[in-house]
Amino acid sequence: MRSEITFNSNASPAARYVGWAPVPVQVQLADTTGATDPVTVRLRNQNAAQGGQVEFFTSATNTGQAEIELSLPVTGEPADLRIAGVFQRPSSADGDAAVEVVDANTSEVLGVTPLMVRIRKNAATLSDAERDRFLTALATFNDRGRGRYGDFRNVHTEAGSPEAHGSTGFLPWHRNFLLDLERELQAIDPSIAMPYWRFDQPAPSLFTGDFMGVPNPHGTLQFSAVNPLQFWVTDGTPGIVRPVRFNTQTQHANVFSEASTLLLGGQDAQYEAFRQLEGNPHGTAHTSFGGSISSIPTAVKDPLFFLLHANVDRLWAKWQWHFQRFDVESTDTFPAQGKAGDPGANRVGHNLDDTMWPWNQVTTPPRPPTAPGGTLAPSPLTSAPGLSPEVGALIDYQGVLTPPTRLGFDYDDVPFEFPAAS
Amino acid sequence: MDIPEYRRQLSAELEQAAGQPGFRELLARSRRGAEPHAAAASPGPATEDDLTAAIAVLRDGEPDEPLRSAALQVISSAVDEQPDLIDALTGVLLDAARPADLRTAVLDTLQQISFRMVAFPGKRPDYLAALRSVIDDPDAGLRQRAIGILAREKDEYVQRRLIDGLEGRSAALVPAEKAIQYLGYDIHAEYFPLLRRIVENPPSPAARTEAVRLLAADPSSADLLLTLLSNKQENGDVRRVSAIGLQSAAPARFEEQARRIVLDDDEDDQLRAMSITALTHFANPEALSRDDELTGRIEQLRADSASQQVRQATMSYLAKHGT
Repeated sequence: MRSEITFNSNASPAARYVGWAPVPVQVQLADTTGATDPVTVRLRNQNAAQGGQVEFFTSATNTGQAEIELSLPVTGEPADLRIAGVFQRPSSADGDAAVEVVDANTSEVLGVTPLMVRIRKNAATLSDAERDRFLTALATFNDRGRGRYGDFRNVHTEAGSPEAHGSTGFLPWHRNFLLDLERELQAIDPSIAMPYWRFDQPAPSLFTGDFMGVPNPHGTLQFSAVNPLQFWVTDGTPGIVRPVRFNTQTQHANVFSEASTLLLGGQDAQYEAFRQLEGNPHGTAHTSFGGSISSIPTAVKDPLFFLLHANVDRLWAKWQWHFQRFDVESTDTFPAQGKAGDPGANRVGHNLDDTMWPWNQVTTPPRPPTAPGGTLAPSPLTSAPGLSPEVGALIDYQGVLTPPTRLGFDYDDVPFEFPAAS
Repeated sequence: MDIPEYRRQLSAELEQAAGQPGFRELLARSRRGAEPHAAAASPGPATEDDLTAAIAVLRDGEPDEPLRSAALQVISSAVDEQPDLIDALTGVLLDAARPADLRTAVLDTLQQISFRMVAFPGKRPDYLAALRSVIDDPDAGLRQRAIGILAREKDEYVQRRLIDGLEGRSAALVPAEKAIQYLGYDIHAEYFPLLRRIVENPPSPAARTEAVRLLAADPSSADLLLTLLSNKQENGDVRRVSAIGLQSAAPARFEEQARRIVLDDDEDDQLRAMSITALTHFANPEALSRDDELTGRIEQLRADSASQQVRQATMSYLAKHGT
């Protein structure tokens, strides 16, 4: 007799990734020859001391269980439950978490399913192996300027800027941009989660030759001889230019602290006020350097762009969690309800029901004349937010209120919680 | 982790941060003895009084950095509602009588606002025109910032001025290596002869290295890059930049040369580690799997090399391509 576990409604091992948000799981018996009665099984972490840890849920509560007992019919009919990573016990390698299914009566192990508690982490805390896997995936995706990274570079330009900046869509658009790249990197190495640069703290291990590079006296980055980013090419030209305007070994960028940022929305936590973060800390983080990253048309030439924006997105996610801003129909969560053309609506791309360029592939004015890169990269974990998402599909990213909207990522310091009972 | 406790900790941090002085309090402190304006003690969005005071702080050349930063923040946060504040900032930027560090802070704020300037399309041409005025400013730091922004905008005027400086037709705006770097944001075929001349007759070693870097965009410079990479007497930085450039311009020729470097006992260790790293990540895996001589050499280097980077590179190579 053996057991089988299916994650995220997908039997493929490619779907065995979880974050803090509980995901649907089916457990069933296979090869039940000779058995006649239902079998009581216990599910638990195979190694509770090391690796990523998960917990089990049978209902929508905030209290998961370290072990759970289920009765599995011998017909092979699956039992449904949910599994989530234990907050702040993420994996550091693919498959370093494992769910063990044990016969509760005989203690026989019926199956062990490896998985990963895949979480976006502070780049300054990555292990060398995590860092190197990320850099390898990034360099492979760019492929010395011949790869698909060029599409990302060609999206974030002067022509595309009105879709992404200066209005309510700034945060959702960049959330999708990050997700698109992360999914592309995961297609190369599924253990990758986008790390973030916590720009309000010193990050000396990030700004090294082994990671995101160190500028020479005139600002061109230098890398260690084993770092694949040394072969970075964009627009046909090798190298990255990033002179620094603060001491990257001892100081943080000249930006608002996390706490000050989370207060931008005011006491009543209004998105319209919170989105001031587009200036400080977002804009100020960009302009803490000279070089490519400090101007819109060239910012994506520097891959640090994505670590910077992962932190901007993390700040939004933390604000959403702290102030419970997941209800897309609430103007506190997102004020631009409806769609472009409605009375009082924002320009196209910045309203809840608008689709987002370039993923919608619309190239008629007022959208930009080209839409590089096609639709959003798909994920084996979830069909959300869709290949051509609307702005509103990027908001409840953990599926707090609507589980199917879960986007399949989490941050190491932003937990998942079901909404407080009112 | 107890999530309710985690939430309480964050709430306490937010409460503490909310008590920190804002622009109004900093302004009141700096004007000790003077009457703070009416809204000084009340929190909330910037008022007209705040904005008037913030602009006055900048026009007065306020030396108190925290107050100046707070003033810039007040203005920046109000730009969405009052785009004309950009004009006030531009005015301070262009006022050469103001201290250079203040004008630099204003330029940084304008550049930060430029990420949102799509909301104010009418302001953008004036901003770029102001930057063109600043590229001849006596302050080198301010000048370089303005040139850099314009270069990234592919501004033809600044490109022409940079070329004129490199050609010696007019005084250079910035050191040659910076000028070359700025031209790299919009590389044109007509730059290549100039870059080759700089490689032959460089104004500085750094300028030569930057010129080599940009020549990667020129397919007809592949021979030059290979020559530079192959020459063991050449400067190490130039060889490494040539390797990167050749890998971009002519990957097959680079891989052939990288293989030679790995096999050569007399080569530089850093270049060897770099070559192994390039082969690991970008060369054809099937061709590598058939190359017993290279694999044997890499196994030997893993065991014998005195260079930690070479050993590290061999381990990555063998993990991916080893048998």
